[in-house]
Amino acid sequence: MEAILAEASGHSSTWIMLLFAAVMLFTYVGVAYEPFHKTVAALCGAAVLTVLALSLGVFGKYGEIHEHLAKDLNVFGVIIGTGILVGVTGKSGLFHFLSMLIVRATGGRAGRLYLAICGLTFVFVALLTIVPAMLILCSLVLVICRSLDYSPKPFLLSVAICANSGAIVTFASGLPNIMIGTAAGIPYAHFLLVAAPYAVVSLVIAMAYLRFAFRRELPWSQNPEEVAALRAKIDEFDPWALVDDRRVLVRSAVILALTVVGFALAQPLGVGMDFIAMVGGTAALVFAGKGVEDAIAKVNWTVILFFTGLFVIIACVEATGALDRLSELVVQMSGGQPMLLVAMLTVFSAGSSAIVDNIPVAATLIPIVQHIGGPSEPLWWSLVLGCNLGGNGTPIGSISCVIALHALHKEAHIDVGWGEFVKIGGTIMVLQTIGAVAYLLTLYGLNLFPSIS
Amino acid sequence: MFDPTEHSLDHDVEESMSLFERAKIGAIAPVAPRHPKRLLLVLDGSSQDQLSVELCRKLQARLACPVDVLDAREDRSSNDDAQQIAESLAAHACAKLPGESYEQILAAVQQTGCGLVVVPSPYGRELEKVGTDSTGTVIDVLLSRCPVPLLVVRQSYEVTDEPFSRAVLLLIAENEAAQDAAGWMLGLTAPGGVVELLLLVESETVENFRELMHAIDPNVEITSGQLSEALERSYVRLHRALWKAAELAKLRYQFRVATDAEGPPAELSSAADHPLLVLALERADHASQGHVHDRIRRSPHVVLVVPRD
Repeated sequence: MEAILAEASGHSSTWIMLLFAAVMLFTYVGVAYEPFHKTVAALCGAAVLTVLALSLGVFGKYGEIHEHLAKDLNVFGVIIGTGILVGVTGKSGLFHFLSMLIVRATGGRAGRLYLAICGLTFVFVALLTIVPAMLILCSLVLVICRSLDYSPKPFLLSVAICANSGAIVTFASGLPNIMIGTAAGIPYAHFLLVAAPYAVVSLVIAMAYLRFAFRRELPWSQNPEEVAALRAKIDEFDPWALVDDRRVLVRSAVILALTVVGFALAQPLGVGMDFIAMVGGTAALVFAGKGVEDAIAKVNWTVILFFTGLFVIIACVEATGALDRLSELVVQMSGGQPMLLVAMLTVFSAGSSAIVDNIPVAATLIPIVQHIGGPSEPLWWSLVLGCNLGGNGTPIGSISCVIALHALHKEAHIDVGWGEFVKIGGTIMVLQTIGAVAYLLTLYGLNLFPSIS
Repeated sequence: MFDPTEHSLDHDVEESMSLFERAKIGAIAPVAPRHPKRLLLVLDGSSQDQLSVELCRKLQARLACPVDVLDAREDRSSNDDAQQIAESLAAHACAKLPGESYEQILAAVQQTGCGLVVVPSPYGRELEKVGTDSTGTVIDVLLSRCPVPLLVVRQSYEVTDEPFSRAVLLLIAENEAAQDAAGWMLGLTAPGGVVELLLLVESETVENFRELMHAIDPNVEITSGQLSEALERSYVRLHRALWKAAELAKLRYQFRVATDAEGPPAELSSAADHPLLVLALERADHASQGHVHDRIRRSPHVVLVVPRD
């Protein structure tokens, strides 16, 4: 009887839903489990679910999987295009040059350096995504701290945490944003209107708490002799020595700026973000690139394969109706109250992103939000803020934390344990999440969310 | 990028740190351009004389420096050719000197107090017949003994515009004459031209290093990328100094690190704009001597050799 009812509603029977959900959860465990490669886990899960879907009649024919994947092709375009653009721009020395220029301007004074490093992290992550920005900032911190005799720990932990604020700013700042923005059809400009303001607020919250947490770890006030000595040391760095060819540097900067403008104008122009990203990447290869093969090789094919696997998994589970049921459950739990739903989703996505990679969290919650009826704008923004800010909660919550802690251990032989990190990062995450909920509820109450048409 | 592996993360962070450390170079003064106060034009009666004369004419006009003309052929007692050319250049013809050609040239350098010698290679023979097999005895000796830079004339071409609108300083290893060579390169490049610092990692060098390191520690792997980076770091000060100097002199500056794994760099083989190839000769370094000889042999372009004892 249940099977007949299920078939009538277009859903699979309950045991099939549970089976698919279990395989999906098992895959996520594999993704989260360090020794197992994320991409291999995702591809294995995709292969198993595809076989199950075809055998159990969830998909009528194999081609239906392609139809599902076709919806997500633009995500691949954005990843490939921005990957090439970031690779070529990075090779020009533009970001190394800018960061060294700004650091030199601080004179090496601890307070100003701290502000500059956090600000640079925020901006670079917004423009380059987390990993390339973290590589630049971590190496900069290590070199500068060695030269100025500062402990790198406060700076690196601050970089790790501020990076997650930067990841909120734009459509292309991080993979979860790309996935959510694409699924929801959020224009680039809306990120600047809705996400960017809270990104700045979350940055301020993080910096304020970090300043307090590290109040004894850096010489925040320095006498004139110390200031002069620091100035002499920092002036030994010449930012122009990082630039091989000024014309390539300028061209890279122009192409990057035009691509960002292009993202903002994509919707009015009637094209997709993937088109803008690919054009930007192509322009970089034509005008600013030296090694085309190297630049193309820099595209992270591992993440593209990971997404392929993940999208197939979600498509299979979605086809069983399991995510529909989950959406209904979520709405029931919130008692149909949109404000409670916003708060629940923000907290849940932040909490789960602290433990599991935020990409599978976003990938799973996206179809759930899609199936929840009513105005979805607040829910999409809950996902954007929650999935990014949750990364501050634990040492494994975000790739920025993983990179910073590894660099601190490898280069400075300083280890930060879970306890110490959670005390700082976890507190910041809680504060930022509370702030995010308040922010979203305020926008909702005042009807300030721009409509996604 | 996505979750990088630990190995790639270590590598990328170290690479980025090396880049930042490269910027720690202290205050850098621009390279001072060097100009000859006097030119010595050496004739050998070959088809290369035409280019030598034209180059001297242009340099004389540009640098406002006097020219001395020497016919150093051993088998020629008449000095008519030198007289004729000296008249066309409003220059001074050196009297015939005794001895081998290279002895005559070295004596003329002493007597005239010139700052730059313009001499064809191979001396006294046609380049087309000798090809890339030899630079000639005269050049060999001059490279060992001449106290001033040599402008070695190779394949003849018609000088239509200002010569040396592009100059390439080629370095393959540490070289104490590099700074001097950079100064001369700036001094001889045509106004508004391009100066380039080209650091070249040769495949043989990589192979030699690799074999040596393998003998010391079989687990260590040396790559051309590592050597390129090492060469780049060792010349970062010269790079910045040249950059600043080029800005002051309103020249365009390019910097490149290349390998010859897939053939010689384009700027050394392309003939379209007849670049000036600049080589630094550290006489105490056998490798430097060998490199300079080899490059002159293989170069179709004019070569400026700047020596240092």
